[in-house]
Amino acid sequence: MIEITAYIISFLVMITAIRIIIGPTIWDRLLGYNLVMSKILMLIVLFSVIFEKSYLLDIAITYSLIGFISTLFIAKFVKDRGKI
Amino acid sequence: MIEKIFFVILIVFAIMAVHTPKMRQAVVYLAVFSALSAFVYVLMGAPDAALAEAVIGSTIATIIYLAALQKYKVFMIYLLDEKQDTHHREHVSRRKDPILSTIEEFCIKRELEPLIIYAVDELDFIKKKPGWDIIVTKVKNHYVLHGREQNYHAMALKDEWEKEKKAKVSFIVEKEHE
Amino acid sequence: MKILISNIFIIISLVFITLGVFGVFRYKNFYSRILIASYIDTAGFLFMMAGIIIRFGVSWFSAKILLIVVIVVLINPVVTHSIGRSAYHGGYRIDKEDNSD
Repeated sequence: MIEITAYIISFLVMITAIRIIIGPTIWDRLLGYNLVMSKILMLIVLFSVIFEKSYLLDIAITYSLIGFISTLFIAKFVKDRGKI
Repeated sequence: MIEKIFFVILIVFAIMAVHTPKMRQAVVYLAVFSALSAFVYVLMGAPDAALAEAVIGSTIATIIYLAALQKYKVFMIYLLDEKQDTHHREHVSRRKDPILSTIEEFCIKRELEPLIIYAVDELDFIKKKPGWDIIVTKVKNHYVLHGREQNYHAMALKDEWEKEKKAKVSFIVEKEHE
Repeated sequence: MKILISNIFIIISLVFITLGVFGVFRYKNFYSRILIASYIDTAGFLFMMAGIIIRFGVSWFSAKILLIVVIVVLINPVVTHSIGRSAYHGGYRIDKEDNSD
């Protein structure tokens, strides 16, 4: 069951990547980036269940704590017209 | 199988990041690339490399690229339309105006970052705002460009158009004094 | 019994996530897209983590997953709000009379 879920979610990551590529504005690309990040977080948790390795969850914790900073900075960069 | 799916996505994003002419989109593509590569490291049995990639590649490298992009100046283009009820659908969803692609080519040639804003406000209200470089108003097939005389990028754009004389649409360039 | 309940939760979460990805492509309006993407993805994440916690029972594994859930529930709305605020203040407008979506 977990393996099938991992397959479906990685297929959905591929579909979400299309939104990043065709997105007409930069905010659509940021939205797709956010979705891809949360799906990768799910995939890491699922693989730590599959491999039964508890230390993969530490990567997931780091990923969720730090992965949002780049999105915030790009959004602020676009809003302020080139100033961070 | 999952590895192969992610390898394909990685190759696509690497090619897109190299081939896009706009620098901000390239930054977003590179951020997605490093986020995906962190997961691929997990799949291939290297969790320490995944940790380093998630911290360095996806966060610090993106911020450093943005700090480098501050050297690029932003060229603000307002686009007004007379029929304001359907302007969003026409321009954003389907395809761009031909004038916008010309302006974007000009910006890329002069190392400017084009920022196009589809406005619904009045023309005089936008003129009072600081920071605009060019306002494009569209009346059917007739374009009017407003630019300040002090803004030498806008004047260079005007000179380029007067030199080339494209026959498709006619242009009127206004000069204004502060 | 535990496995069955956890499988049901994971299937519910898959339905939510698939609907979210479908909604990102279905709506022509940017603000509708950001709404659908934000709340359906958060709901899918919560259901999936609840399913995994039920499968493992009370253990350190579940405690770590609970920590991830708390972090994501706190941070994900902030990121979505930041994208929407950036789009609104950056001059991205839609029509007031557009009710088709």
